[in-house]
Amino acid sequence: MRADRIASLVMKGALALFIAVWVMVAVIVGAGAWRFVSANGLVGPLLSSRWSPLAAHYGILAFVVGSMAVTGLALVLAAPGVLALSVTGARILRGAPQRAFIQILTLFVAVPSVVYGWWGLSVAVPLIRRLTGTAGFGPLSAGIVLAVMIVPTFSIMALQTLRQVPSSLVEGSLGLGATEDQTLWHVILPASRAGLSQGFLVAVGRALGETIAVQMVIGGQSRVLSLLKPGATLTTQLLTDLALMPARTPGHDALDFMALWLMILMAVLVWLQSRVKGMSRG
Amino acid sequence: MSSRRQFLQAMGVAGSGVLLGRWPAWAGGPGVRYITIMGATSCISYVKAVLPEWERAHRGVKVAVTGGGSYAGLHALALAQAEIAMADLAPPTSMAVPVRRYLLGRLPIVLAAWPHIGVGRLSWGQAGAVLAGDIVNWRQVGGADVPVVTISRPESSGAREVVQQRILGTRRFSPDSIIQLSNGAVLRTVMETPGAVGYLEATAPMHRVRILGMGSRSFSPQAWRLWPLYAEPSLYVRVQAPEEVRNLAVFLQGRPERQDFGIYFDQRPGQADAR
Repeated sequence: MRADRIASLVMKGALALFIAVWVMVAVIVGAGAWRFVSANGLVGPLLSSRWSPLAAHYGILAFVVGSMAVTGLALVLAAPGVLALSVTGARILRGAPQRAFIQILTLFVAVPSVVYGWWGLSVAVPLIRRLTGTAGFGPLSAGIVLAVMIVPTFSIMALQTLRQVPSSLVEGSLGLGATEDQTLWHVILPASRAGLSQGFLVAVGRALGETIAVQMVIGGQSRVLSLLKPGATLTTQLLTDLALMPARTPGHDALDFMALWLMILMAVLVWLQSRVKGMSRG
Repeated sequence: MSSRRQFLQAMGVAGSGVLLGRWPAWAGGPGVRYITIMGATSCISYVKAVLPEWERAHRGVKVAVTGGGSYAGLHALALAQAEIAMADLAPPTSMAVPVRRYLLGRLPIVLAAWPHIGVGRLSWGQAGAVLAGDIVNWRQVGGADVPVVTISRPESSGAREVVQQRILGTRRFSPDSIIQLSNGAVLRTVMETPGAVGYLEATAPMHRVRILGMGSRSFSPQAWRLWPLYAEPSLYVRVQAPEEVRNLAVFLQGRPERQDFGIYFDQRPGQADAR
């Protein structure tokens, strides 16, 4: 009884601490962003790409576009791999090979992002350099690195979803004379739509929030969009300029404004995920 | 009802802990005092190397060393988040806190290039034009037919500030420059990218890159006094800092080991300057 009470208190304490930390972060970022908007307006910084914080130019358009471009590129590049890996793991492999396959994918999920960044420097950047004749640093390299990063996460989620498709649906389709491919495209994938959408949103979240791996290969310039020239995202610029504008210094509010946008984008993703979950239950 | 009360109580305790912002002083045990040194990454290796000796002589004082760049160190000093700032830059004029400077020495900054550019020396004007992006191919300065790729550091870097002031003047760095966060990252990028050129604090071995001469001078660690491009890494301490903090700054200023970390100095100890 006493142990139960202690356990209950510990759980509630942990939850309370989590909420307090979250509220603290939201209040700090929100207050800084509010001061920034009061001084610079909301629309101006969003429509300008001139970022020179020491000269009080705080245009973040290049970083917002950079984040979206790199994330979009990563998803496009990752999609074929995710489809291939998840279908292989869910529908082709069986027994021990399937278990080993899932374990390997899980291992890749656990690889720290700095290792993916290192891979990007060693493989993606030289590859882009050779293919395009540029320096190799830029959103294209960052997109490739992110694609490689999100493939395991997205594939595992997709694989689990595909495994949950009732065998009666598959057997029914095959029994009616559909081929394996037709069954995959017209029965299994549509039936897994909700789960795949959730995996997609998790992958978007991971890509959007990734910092260090992207920072290592993107080049770090405030440029609206060129895939082959140095660029930046919201997260990489936050990392770069934290040293320049630490807390309680002029200009730091601009970083809070950028952080708030990231949080808003993430909140939209979470909301979309909950909608998708609702769809799958409904 | 009781459950809700318990939750609110826990929430209150947790919130207070978070709102306090800093871990209380007693967290490290009774009598333990802390000194934070923050700033230029170029000084970190040296400071960390000699610090244990000072700590052994000052039981009960723990020193934390963290990077972040010269700007971050000076800001932290002004905001009393650090007791000692390491900086390659002079404190900004807006810094209202009176500080004392302990000059560590001279940190040469060199232009390092990909080894096969076919150029071994640049005039100051050429160097400025290369870094600003006005010279786009090494052929334009008598080298190989290879496009120039400039590598730079973020605005918080003291080395960048020195290069901006001494080489570029009023011009800006090329908007196509690749920004790397550390000296090591610049070195690696220069080494691996055809046509690349960047500036390095000469603190680390610089193999597999070509160190460019500037005007009539060539860099050599033995002739560091003659090299014209350098930062002056210094420690900054509040004038009102406790004796212990000033003692640590004097200790760090006086250790000869700093030459092993690329910070060169004349053999007589420097004096602290108040500002």
